[in-house]
Amino acid sequence: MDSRMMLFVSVLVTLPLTGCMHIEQEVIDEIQLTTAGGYEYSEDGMIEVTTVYPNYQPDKSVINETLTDTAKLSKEARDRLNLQSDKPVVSGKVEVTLYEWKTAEKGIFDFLDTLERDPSIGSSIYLGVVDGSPKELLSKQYGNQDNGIYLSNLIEQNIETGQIPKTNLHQFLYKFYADGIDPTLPVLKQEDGKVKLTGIGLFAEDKLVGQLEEEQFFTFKLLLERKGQKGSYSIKLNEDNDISIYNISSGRNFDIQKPMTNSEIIINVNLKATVSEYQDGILNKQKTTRLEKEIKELLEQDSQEMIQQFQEKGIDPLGIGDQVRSRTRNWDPKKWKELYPDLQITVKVNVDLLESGVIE
Amino acid sequence: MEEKQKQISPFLVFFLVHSVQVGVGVLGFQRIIMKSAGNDAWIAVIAAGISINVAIMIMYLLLNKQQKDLIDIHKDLFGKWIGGFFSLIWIIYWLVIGIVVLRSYIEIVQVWVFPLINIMMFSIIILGLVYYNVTGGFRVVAGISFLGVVIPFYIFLSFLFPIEYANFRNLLPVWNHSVKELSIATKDMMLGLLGFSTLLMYYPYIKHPKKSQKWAHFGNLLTIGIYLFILIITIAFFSDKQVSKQIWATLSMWKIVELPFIERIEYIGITSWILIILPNICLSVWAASKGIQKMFHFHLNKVIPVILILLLFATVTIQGRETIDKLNQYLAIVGLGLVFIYVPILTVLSFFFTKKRKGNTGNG
Repeated sequence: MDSRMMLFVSVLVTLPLTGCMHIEQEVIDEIQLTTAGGYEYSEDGMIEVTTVYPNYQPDKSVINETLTDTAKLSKEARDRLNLQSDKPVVSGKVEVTLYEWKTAEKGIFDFLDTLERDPSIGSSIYLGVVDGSPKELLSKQYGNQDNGIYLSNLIEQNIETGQIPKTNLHQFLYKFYADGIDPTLPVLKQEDGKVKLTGIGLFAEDKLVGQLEEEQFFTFKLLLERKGQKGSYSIKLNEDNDISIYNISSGRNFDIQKPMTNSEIIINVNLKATVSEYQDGILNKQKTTRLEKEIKELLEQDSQEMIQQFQEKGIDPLGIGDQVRSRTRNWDPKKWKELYPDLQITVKVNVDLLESGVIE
Repeated sequence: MEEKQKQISPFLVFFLVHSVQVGVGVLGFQRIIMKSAGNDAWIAVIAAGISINVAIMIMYLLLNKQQKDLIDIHKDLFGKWIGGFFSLIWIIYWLVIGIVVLRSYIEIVQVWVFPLINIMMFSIIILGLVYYNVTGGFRVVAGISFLGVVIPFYIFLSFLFPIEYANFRNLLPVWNHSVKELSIATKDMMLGLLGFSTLLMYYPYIKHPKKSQKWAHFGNLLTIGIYLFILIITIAFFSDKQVSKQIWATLSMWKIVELPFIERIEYIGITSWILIILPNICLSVWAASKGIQKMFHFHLNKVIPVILILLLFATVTIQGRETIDKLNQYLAIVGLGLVFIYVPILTVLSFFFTKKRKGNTGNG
């Protein structure tokens, strides 16, 4: 046989073999693509799982349909859900998973195992805590859109415009596994057929222990991100004068003189902002300087209170422990846990109001 | 030395050395070396690279002196029987490399893409491709090594995506681990880099072989560069305990990538990876069958099918994560012994022996 014949024969022999590889076909019209899931512990320790999938109508509208069942494991619940469904339920397109508040307080890591283990689920999906029932939240219709995509857009949009810090499955797991930092998740609430981002849930390892309110988002983001941008901050200066500023660029660095001792840790924050709303007449130079000082004091006070709150709860969502770790050889996380609550942590803010918009 | 028209240009050694070092190992080496060296694992990668360069130097010392391949060196030094025994060890070693690479790749396809895939059929198709390449002669194998490096190179750009979530402070503090931990990590790191020992077989196929040494070193350098690049991103992207859970940390990093036209980039990555592992299998199968052909004087085209059937049989029999892991470990220890203990001894022996023989002829 010459080589050309050889090639011909080998192609002829191998091509039909591809049919014997047992590769499972999943045609998009014949599967039920769930786009969001909600988890809640029911009273007897079982998990109540709700999944939502879009049902595309001939007139281009989308109807969200949900399936709910209880089981011990979340993949077991998926099998149960299959018993209710005319098409196989597939989780490859999940965008958001939600956990009920009390469930999150008991710890959500057990739910994350399957998300981490399953190669078909990306690590950029969003997780969220629901203030209320996830089942109820998922079964509502929010405009002519698929609920999973709606919720994912809601969170994504707020990350991109700088309202809340970056969050996703990867970030949660990263912070969960790391010793020097604790995870956070957005908190969602359903009211009158609308979903609202009401807070940032604070976790100790995988257990929810509290939340930050809307007013604290800006300060939290300022302290968390090494280099930040975007996000607005509104301050009440006195009785009827308010000011709103917009973050152009912010930088945060740690000044740790003697790591792993009781000595003070200083967090330096540098904020460059513009004024986006001001209610007290013309902004001149003196006023700007005075405003910078007032904002600085307010931000420092806010951050001090926030950090104090973290220390009391024994959580470290700002990653101060990680900063200390990277400055210490053979860092001992246990010793750090003991030191952390009593540490003196000072925040020093420097505010620059660069512009005041198109008017003075 | 082989006939002129069967030989390859010296610069192709760059691709031959590099392609056989980058295979399935790149997808999951992080966990193994970070287990002992943590955030200092990158030091171990550099140390391993330097050690491999020394090993390449020793190999060239031996080959430049002898100007023939390993099988003939064995025959000259130890005679037909003892020499044949040592040759057989090397042949089995190369064969097992082929088996491990193919089986590990199929495991990845099983876990990440098609859990129900029929291993037998999949192996037959890949081995058909290997058969086509290896029967084409060494020049075709060298060609596939070249293509296996150049075509899938775009893959490495996709590792820039995880940088968005990278925290490079994880690299600090530097030198947080003892020399002992670092040397264990260096040893573990070298395991994936040992495939270059096929050089012992294809040396006679290189035109002006002495000139090819620098290309072999450069090939190794590029390998180290790629490993270092991926490792540093891994250290920054995962936290320490997180990476210890990832069997294939490199693939897990792809889970974060989101592109408008494809939801999961792993599917592109894993399918492209076959081009990266193909030269691995081809070169080790070629080295093993060439060895058998030289030892037993069979026709090469008859040896290859037998070896491929052996490969197929082994691939289908090996099942499960643990067995594959075990096999990897044993192979690694044997490889380390062969490259870093056996080859230097052989080099010293060959110098001693040839000098003595020269002395003899002088007297006679």
